[in-house]
Amino acid sequence: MTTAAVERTPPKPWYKSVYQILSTTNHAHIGMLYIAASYIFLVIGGLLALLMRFELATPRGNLVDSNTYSSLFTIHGTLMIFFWAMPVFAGLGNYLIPKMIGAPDMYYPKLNALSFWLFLSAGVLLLASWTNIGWTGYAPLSVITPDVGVDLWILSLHVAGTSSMVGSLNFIITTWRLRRSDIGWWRLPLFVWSWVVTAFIVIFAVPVLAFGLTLLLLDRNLGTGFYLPSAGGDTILWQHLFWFFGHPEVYILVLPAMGVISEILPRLVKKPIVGYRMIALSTVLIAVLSFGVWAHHMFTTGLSPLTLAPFMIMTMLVAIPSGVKVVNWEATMWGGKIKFNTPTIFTIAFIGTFIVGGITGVFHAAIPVDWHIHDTYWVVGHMHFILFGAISQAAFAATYYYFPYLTKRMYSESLGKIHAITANVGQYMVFLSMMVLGLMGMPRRYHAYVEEYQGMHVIATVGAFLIGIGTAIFLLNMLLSWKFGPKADSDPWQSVKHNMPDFLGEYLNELDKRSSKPQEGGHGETR
Amino acid sequence: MERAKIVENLTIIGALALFIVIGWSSWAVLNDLESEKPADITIKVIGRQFAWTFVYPDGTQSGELRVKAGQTVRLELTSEDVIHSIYFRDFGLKKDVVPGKTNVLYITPLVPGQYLIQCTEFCGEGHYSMLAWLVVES
Ligand code: HEM
Ligand SMILES: [Cu+2]
Ligand SMILES: [Cu+2]
Repeated sequence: MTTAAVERTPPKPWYKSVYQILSTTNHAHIGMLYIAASYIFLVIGGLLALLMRFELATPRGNLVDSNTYSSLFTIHGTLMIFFWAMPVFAGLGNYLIPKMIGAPDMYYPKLNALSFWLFLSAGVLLLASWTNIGWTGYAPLSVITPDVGVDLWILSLHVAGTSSMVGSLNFIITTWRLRRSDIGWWRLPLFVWSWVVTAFIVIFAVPVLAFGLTLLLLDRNLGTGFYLPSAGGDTILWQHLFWFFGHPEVYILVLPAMGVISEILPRLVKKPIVGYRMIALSTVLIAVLSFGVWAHHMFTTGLSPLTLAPFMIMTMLVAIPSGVKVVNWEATMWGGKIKFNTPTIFTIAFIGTFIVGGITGVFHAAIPVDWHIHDTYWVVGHMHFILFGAISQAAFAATYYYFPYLTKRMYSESLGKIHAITANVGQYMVFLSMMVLGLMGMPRRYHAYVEEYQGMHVIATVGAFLIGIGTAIFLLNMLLSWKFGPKADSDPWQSVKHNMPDFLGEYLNELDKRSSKPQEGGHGETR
Repeated sequence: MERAKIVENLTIIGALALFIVIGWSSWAVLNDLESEKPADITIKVIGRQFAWTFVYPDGTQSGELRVKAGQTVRLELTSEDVIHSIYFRDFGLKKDVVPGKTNVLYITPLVPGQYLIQCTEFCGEGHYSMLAWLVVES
């Protein structure tokens, strides 16, 4: 893989020059920028979570006051969703999609750079807003809260939404126009499949959020009353608009995670993926169904049973394509050569936690059960199993897996294993305790609580610090290995050897080049 | 490969069967909870940042919800400011308290005692302190 030119004059890496960072339009660079920025936001969001867990170790509020606590969960939630889980997969998409389809770059490289810089500015805006209305920003609280932080929060989401719209259009057009002609839809790597589908969800869902946010902005600043009953408006309207976006958003997060797992799992166990078509089609089915479930977040708002029933049915149905994926992943592992290296452990942890998170989610679909657990810690536990246990751990698995490609070096396997163990012991301590708390009746977004809840909260706090330590080890591993790690093999996972190249398109391009006329170097070489 | 296909189909069928059972019973329970019932007493519940007020049929107001064991209680929920949600954790019942509309929740407490009422919709600074007691007398 290493070209002669690279060996002769080792150039200064692009990321050591501020000018190059600011001006690059190369998809691999933008991808790495996305990933790096996402990890920075993960650290900030994680520190906010640790502050919350520290506060919650005792029943009385003694570390921070109530308004600060509200800012902590608002910024933590918004940051983790829009500035960690979404962009880290956008980064992987930027890096991987062109390589997987054999394109030299994205279709619109400059727009691609634009979406990264918009995303970064939106993240800074969010931190500056320090608002305290919850990541769901329910009206009319979000209308009557006077501080300008809410307006900054709105602005931040508008900018972040624009960024993901632009990015998604780019993903679709790139896959459509720049794909090698011999990579048809039934040969397209599953990660690309999942991003194309996700991009369509973004394009249909984000404008609805933008619309809702704009009405909120008008209500706040120009005296309209779309969400104010006193002005003839309707408070519940916000919830419809928010969740029409918000539930598909969950699939915007999880589909790329599933996609990347479907890519790396077969290569880790050295067996082709089982049920390729079923996995691809279930992605499409999830995307379609995800637009029909929004009111399952509104089972207690007083909508009539007949209004709610379809959402119960749709919510249950959407679990089925997810189950299909799980079965196919398990079948892929079955009889494979499972080597317990770090990405494999995280991949298995992803599948296991996704099952736990998925099953705990189905409980909400049963409306009378939801009446008990809605807006309690049960929800907090369930959503973190998906958001941390599944989505974030998929991002970790992918980070380890592609690390040798991104940095040309190998990470430390033993530190990786420590990370995997702390993350998983920690997450079950935190999120299972949270679910028990939910069954006991502990409401979410409480900064102080009645004493009987304390025991479980202490366990959760200890678990959270375990996760924190593991994450610190992880980041140290990445940074130190990037600088000092051993040089990586050019085929670190023997994927080419097993005839499942990690970058299908790039690999085919290479073959073409060799078979036609042997050339020196190569255009479109990005590393 | 054969085997995977069979497991896959069994999963789909099993899940569908399970969902039909869950869905049907949920529908039955939900309709039972939401249907108009002859109530022994109707109490108005007013949510405001950050306290609950209970208004009894005779017009008296209290920060405590007092009822008799075995009574079917009809709660009419309204809010004066933002959205709250009234949560009887011991009965697993909750309903949002929304400005501009009146939601209804029926409870039928059977065992005398004191039960915690909590607000479960984030309503601002004092959300965590928006607690009250349901006192069930024999
Ligand atoms: C792994 C370590 C994490 C810990 C210990 C943690 C802890 C917490 C805590 C204590 C809350 C507030 C609960 C409340 O008062 O209601 C919370 C809320 C939340 N977290 Fe996390 N979290 C973690 C990771 C994540 C990740 C990775 C994501 C997303 C990808 C995430 C997304 C959220 C969201 C969306 C909320 C709701 C915020 C709101 O209520 O407005 N968290 N988390
Ligand atoms: Cu949802
Ligand atoms: Cu409240």
